[in-house]
Amino acid sequence: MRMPPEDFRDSVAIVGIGYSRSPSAPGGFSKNSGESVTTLTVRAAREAAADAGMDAKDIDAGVTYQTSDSIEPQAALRALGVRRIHQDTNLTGGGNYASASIMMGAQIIYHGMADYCLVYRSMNGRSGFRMGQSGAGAGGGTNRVGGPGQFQNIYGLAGPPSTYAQQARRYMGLYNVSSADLAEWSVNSRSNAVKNPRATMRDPITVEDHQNSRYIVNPYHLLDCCLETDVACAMILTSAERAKDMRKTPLLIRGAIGGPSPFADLADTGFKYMRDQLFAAADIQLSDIDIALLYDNFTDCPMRMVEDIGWCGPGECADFVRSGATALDGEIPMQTQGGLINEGYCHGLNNALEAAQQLWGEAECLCPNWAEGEHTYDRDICRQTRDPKIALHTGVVGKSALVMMKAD
Amino acid sequence: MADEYPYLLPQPDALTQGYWDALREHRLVLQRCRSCQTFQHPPDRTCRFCPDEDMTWEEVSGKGTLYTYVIVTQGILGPWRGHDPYNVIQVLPDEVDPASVSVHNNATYNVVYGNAVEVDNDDLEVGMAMEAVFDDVADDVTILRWRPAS
Repeated sequence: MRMPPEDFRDSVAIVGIGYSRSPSAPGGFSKNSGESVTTLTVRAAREAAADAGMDAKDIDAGVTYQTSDSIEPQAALRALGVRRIHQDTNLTGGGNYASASIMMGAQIIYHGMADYCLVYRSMNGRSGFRMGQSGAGAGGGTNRVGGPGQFQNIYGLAGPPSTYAQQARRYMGLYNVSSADLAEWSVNSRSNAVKNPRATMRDPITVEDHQNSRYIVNPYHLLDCCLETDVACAMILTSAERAKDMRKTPLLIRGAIGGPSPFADLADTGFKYMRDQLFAAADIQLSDIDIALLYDNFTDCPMRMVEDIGWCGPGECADFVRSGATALDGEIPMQTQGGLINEGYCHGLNNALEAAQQLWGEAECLCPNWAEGEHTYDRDICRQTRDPKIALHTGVVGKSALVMMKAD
Repeated sequence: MADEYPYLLPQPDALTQGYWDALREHRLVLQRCRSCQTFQHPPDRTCRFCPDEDMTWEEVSGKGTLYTYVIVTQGILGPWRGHDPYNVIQVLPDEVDPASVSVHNNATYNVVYGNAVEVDNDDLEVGMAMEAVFDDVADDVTILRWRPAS
């Protein structure tokens, strides 16, 4: 028998978040940090601790996910000068862990293995190891390829854009979705990034701009693709009980899923298989979700999730976005900071931090007094959504997902 | 000569040698379980669909439908750099049960990857009928590609 999810529900809280900010990267994101991933991690962790109103040295657990491009929790917590490490989890992987890493940190707290868990992702994703340049034959070497690659890589598949473009084309072919339809996602996301001081891409764009941008791997134009950036993001988790006495209103972890596989079709997302389990674990209905930050490595990936979650039918996400439903004052605001496509790419963890900022009513924007919590809701300058309570955050194509809720 | 072919070549192993040997004879074979009769590609030592380990090679027609395709327009891989745009496709062979297709970690199982030839990239369409083309790229290597079915 499975353990009842209500035992875990609301038992762990997010109490602080932080970015790797510096004078040369005031929002944390840059194209060339000039710093080690260790330094980026420490900066983000210290900001998260200050946000939580605690001493960073009291952190006693760490979780990260990486592709041999970052620093493992033991080393990160040592660099942070913590007093004692009780648990560390070093995951090998990428966007599939964007929500699951938080879930695993929450499990460390839930099981009483530690008091304060740092969940982070730190990467020099532009100046160091570039995801976009991985793939078969990258960097030369032998011209013979064995293992599974002898059936795939010999045909010239080239890293994440061509991998995900196969999914996009399958989706577009099955449901008669056009490239201009995918553009709707980019345009809505960019309209939020325009008001985000952290965002890398802040000039407004149109569908036409998207269509005129060069192809990376057809069907992906440049403006379908996420960015490569140098950045670290961090958050601190503790028990809901302890969180009550801390600086900020606790953001409770209501429920999570991770690891749905296999999919029956290349166009599927994990929500086709585990949506109901997530909603049951979190004890929510679709209409309870106030904002959604969906893993947007490429435009079609979140669009397919929107459809599989049930906000609209298969192939209808472009119309859903076009209707204004995903805008800041729409039925379900999405990518409120611009997403990975416009803010920057911290392997999805920055989308989770953004969800937290929104729930706290602390969205950094262009309002003159946003730092004092004064939001104008003037959509030329303000990207704070109106009093959101429940947020959905996901990993890549629904391979993990998390529901967080602002405590009363 | 093998080293004149500029792109990547397969490195067969004990598990895959039969597939490459058949291509050399311009035949497409897929691994099939003698017990549950399910095709399995890429090949494996054991059947993923039943507990059996009695796997065999079975020749298929070389006909199939286009499952998906991409056109790489920004070649970043060493051997392909400067040779773009080129397509990469996945084909569902007619003999393979569509219900046996599965996706693990972004790789599609029970489809066959390849390149489409003798067609404009603009004319590719998900679901179109395809047929196998056997491309002798080196003295000892034949690579499977696909063209629209005649």
